[in-house]
Amino acid sequence: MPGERVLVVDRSSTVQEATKAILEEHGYRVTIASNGLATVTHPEIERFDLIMCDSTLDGIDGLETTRQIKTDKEIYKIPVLLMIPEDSIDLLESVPLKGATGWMAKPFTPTRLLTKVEEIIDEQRLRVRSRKYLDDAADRQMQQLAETKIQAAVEKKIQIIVERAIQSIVSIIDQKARREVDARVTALTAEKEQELVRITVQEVAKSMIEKQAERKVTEAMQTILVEQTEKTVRRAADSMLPSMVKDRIKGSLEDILPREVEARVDKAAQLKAEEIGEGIVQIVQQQAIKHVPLVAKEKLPELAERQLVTLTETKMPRVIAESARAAVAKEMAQTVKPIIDEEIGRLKRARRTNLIIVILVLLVTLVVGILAPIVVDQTGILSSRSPAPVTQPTAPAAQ
Amino acid sequence: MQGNLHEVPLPEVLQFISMGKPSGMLHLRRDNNEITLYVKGGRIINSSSIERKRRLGDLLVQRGLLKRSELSQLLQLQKTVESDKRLGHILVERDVIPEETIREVLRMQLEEEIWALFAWKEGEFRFETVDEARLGDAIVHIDIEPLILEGTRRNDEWEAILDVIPNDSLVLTVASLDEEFDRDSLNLKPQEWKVLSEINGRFTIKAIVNRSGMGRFEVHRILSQFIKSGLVVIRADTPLQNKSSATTAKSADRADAGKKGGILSLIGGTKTKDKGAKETLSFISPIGVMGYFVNVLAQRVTALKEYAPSEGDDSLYEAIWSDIGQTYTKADLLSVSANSVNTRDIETFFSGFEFKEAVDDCYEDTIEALTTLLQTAFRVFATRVGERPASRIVRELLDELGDQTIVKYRGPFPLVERVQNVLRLAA
Repeated sequence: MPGERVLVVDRSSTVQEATKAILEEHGYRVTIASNGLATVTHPEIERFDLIMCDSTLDGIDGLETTRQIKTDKEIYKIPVLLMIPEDSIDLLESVPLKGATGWMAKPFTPTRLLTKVEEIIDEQRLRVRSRKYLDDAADRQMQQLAETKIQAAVEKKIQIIVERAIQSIVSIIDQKARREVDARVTALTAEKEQELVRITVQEVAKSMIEKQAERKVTEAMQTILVEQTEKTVRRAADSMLPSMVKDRIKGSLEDILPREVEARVDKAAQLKAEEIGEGIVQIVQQQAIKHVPLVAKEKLPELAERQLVTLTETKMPRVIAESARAAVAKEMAQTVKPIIDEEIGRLKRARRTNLIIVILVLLVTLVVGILAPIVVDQTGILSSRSPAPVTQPTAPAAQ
Repeated sequence: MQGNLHEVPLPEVLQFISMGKPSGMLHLRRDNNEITLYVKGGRIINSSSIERKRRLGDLLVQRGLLKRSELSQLLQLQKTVESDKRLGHILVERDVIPEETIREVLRMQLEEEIWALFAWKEGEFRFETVDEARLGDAIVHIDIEPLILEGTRRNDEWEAILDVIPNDSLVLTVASLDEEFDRDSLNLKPQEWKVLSEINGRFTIKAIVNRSGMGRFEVHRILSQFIKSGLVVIRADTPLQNKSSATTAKSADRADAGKKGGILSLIGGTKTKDKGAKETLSFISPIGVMGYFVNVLAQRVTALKEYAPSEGDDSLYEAIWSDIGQTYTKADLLSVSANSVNTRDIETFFSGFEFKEAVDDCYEDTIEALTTLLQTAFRVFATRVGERPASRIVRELLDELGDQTIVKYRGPFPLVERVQNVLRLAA
């Protein structure tokens, strides 16, 4: 493959020249060096695609040179092809090659040299590619891992925050409600206004706790909880994340996380708000159950009494007036009519007393006519001693 | 104008020349060293030193600008057809190397040469005015003023470098690394790395200078820094320093090995009986033929009764090789010990490549190196046993081998012609 840069390191100028000539003929760009120190100190060593290194160099031998390359974090990826003199191969067979990518006996033929060099460069190319896949996979995994970790951390944090918020809100409401109820009850009892106390208690129980508290809870939930949670979560997320992880996934986080967190916080808040609502309603109900029956028990007799009085005052006069009129009419029919009828009969039998009878009838009619309006006027007082006066006026008239 | 550098230092002499703008030759001599600077119109255009001619060609080969075979051809040409011309001119005229490149190489070589003279505190100088036309065309013209400035500056630094690197024949090796070696802490510049990359535990500083394609001063400066920092150390057993006790345990072992398997085992030759009585020798390549030739030469010469050994003769080849090897650096798979050349490694290596084009340069360097070894060794043997016996042995050997050798690669090899070309054999 043309253009690849090869560093040929051999103490022999003959080997350097011949190797260089062959490789250059096949398009490689060749640099030559005679020792291991020069190999590792080349100003642009990282640009080489292959380092061919004789195992028996002056000063620092090929194996040590290889070790230097392979333990340097910037250049360890450069493949190293060791050239081992044929007569020392036996000695080296059991010796580790210090991370060299391959080895080749020396002397070598141009064909062998080119095959080996191509082979290693091809392999390296493959390795670079698969390393890239590996890197990508690792990156993805890292990102996933980081996301999961962050999510878990955020969820945990949200849970803690929400729980704390609910706790504090509940306790605040609890305390406040209790304090207010207590305060009012105490104040009203002191004034000895039993009725007002009861009404107030009812009022407090119903309106204040039920409505106001509920509204307050909702408001508080919406404002304090959401804001505080969001703020705390953001802060917690910032401080909690290891900076390395943060850098690594920063890009993706900017896209995904805010939406995710927001959605989750919303959801969690909604859920929790419902729970809190229920909790509060329960508290209120408990409060109500505790207070309402007492109030009701104490209030009922007094209510009944009042109703009776109202009834008496409004309906009684009409009933009495009607029954009095009915009684007068009855008395008239029962007592006055027979007497009149008897007198009429006597008059008929004794025609001689016609004049007297006529005078008598006239007299009785007059008396009844005078008496009737007086009786009606005095219904309330005279209702009990009704027909007696009817006969009394007649007696003087008859005398 | 003439005098002593002790009284008039070189910078002042040059200053004087620069002002008068003359044309001529400035001869400088110190002990056995003599050098002439050619001046044209107050500018230096060339120099002549003993090794000069050799060096330009080698320099070009070592820098990969010229092939060894091309150089040989050009030198042959210079010897025969264009004897009046300098190698530089021939190269330019024949368009072997672009003029600009030649100029650059020559300029650097010349400047380095002159700056080296700045270190001369003693010696004679003489300026001889010459007609401008006689000096011929020049490829480079070096202004003296800036040369003096730079030379003076370098001279001061040289003092410090010399404390660390007393001579160029030293062989350097890299130190072993600490466990906590931090490669980033070095942060080498490309030139520094180039110098470091040439150190192999075998090449001398001189060879490193030549191979690096950089100036001598620059290479020395960089190397002295490496040495001071402990990254590079001077080899204690630098061959040239141990000339007298060259027969180390290692080379003795090698010598034994050589004897056991016979000389042919060292050079990879095999004997086959032909129909006739004469033996035919098969070799892998001309390298093996040359190796066999020089090895048998040493054996036969030292076996002569006229042979009067001198101190160090046991490792004569080794001593010669330690010098030649620094010039023919691409032949470094050849090994020499106890007056015996081992060509097996290099021939095996080349065989792997089937001696194809890729190894051309190295092959040519090797043949050239062996030829030079033969040449030098023959001169030494001639002084030990006399010209005639030495020549006789060479002739005998050529008769024996002559056309009988078979080479698998790079044949046929005109051994007789080649040997006769380089050795002036006595009648």
